[in-house]
Amino acid sequence: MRPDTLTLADHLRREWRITPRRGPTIMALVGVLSVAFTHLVLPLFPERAILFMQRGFRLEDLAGVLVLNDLMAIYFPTFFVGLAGSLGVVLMSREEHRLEILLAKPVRAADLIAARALPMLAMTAGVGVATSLAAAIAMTLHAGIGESVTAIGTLGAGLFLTALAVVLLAALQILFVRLRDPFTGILLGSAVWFMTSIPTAALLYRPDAFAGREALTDLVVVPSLLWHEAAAVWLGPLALLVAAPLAVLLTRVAGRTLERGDAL
Amino acid sequence: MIGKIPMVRLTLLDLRATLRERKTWLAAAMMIYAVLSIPVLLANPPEHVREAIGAWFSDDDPFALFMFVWIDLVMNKAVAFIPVILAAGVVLRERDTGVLAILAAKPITMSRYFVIRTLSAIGVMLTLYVGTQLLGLLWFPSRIPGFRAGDFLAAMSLHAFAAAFATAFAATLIVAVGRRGAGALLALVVLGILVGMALVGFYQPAWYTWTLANPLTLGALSMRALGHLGPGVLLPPMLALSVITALTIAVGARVARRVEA
Repeated sequence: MRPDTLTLADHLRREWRITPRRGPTIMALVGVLSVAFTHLVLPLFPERAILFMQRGFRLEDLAGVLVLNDLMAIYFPTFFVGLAGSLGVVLMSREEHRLEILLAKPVRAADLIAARALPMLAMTAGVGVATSLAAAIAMTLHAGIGESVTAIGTLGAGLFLTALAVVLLAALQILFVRLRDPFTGILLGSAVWFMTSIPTAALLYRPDAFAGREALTDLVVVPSLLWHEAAAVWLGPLALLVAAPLAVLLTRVAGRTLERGDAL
Repeated sequence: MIGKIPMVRLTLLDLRATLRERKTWLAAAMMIYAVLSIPVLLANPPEHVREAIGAWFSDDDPFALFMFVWIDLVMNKAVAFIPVILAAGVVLRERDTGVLAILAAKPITMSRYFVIRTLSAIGVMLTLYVGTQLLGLLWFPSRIPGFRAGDFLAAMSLHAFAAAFATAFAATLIVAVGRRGAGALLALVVLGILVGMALVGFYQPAWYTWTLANPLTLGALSMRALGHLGPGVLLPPMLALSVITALTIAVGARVARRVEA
């Protein structure tokens, strides 16, 4: 095969073969262990601590409190394994002066970005799906904690957060192709993660700020996935399905940005 | 001649260079945002929050609620994230960008170079940390009911030792892993777990003794005695954190020996 006939699919296959597996595997394990830890340890907390979370996040019972903690055990490793993986798309190559060499090859910059980012995003989704399944299994096995959240609702909520992480990381690639310092990218990515988590903390300390703004509250706080568990059941898988083409689109935009800018 | 003075000078030069980097300014901007926004978050806490925090820390003063939020929600999160960003480049960036080969030709060992870069990262972390508290000292008195400047500074002085530990720990772990991305991810996870568990002993008193093994719990021990902070409360955990930090740097210096250009 001549190098100038390489398609995006060819690049994707090559990059998929060399995409690191160890980090995502370890992070999936971290997620699963965090879920197990939550279900084994949190019920041992005094009632006051459980009630604090229950009342603060408008949850009905211990099941809600456990699943809310499970959701953080899904969102944190999923987002950050993808963020660390993002270093390998462009940021590290640029800092180590390898990007010029890569782009001197007969490959379009947009294809290079897509071929490197999409396997990383697939691994990210894999971590989220694995941890969501672990949370759903934990809910099935954990008896006597209440019935406000079901295993399938837990899975749906977990998949929704997985989809959110994938789309945010894909969007961050547009920013990352313009950056020169990899760890400035990590810091900005962390800030994005915080921005999605701050409204949930605000709900705990300033519930009055959300009063009369139910639609906004549902949109920005994580516990709303549990308040509307029936919707989360279908919304999570649907969000993950929509996230896939959206992530492809965003990585293509990132590639075009690299092509058009003086990114080198 | 390589002696004490060049080492201090190298550390100061590296510290100045890092302070000028964009990521340091971004971290500073995030801390300023935190200082400005916390009074808004605490403007009208619900009764059950006041009651729970009053019970956990045996103190129903609004200042205890503020300190809980400031340490748990802001500074502990900063201590989990910013040190990783600052320490991720220690030694490994030089290796990955081909500078280590040049350094290897200089009369400085890799262990010593690791110590210099780690001390510099700790210096930057503490500069950001102290700057944040000083800004808070200007902003909070007019915004937080019952704000006590002396207790605030005393409590945060202890917590700053935890920030120094977190930076040393991140540098050591990342060098031990040997890859910046994977090392930073692992450091984030471990520090995230330590931060998550830092105040558990206050929620569940039966586990309090065990949680003292967590350096970030030691950094938050002032929460146990906000009304009577003094050397007896602050110095033991400060000393313990200093020893743990020094040992962590020593381990990192040993590990750094096997980093090759």
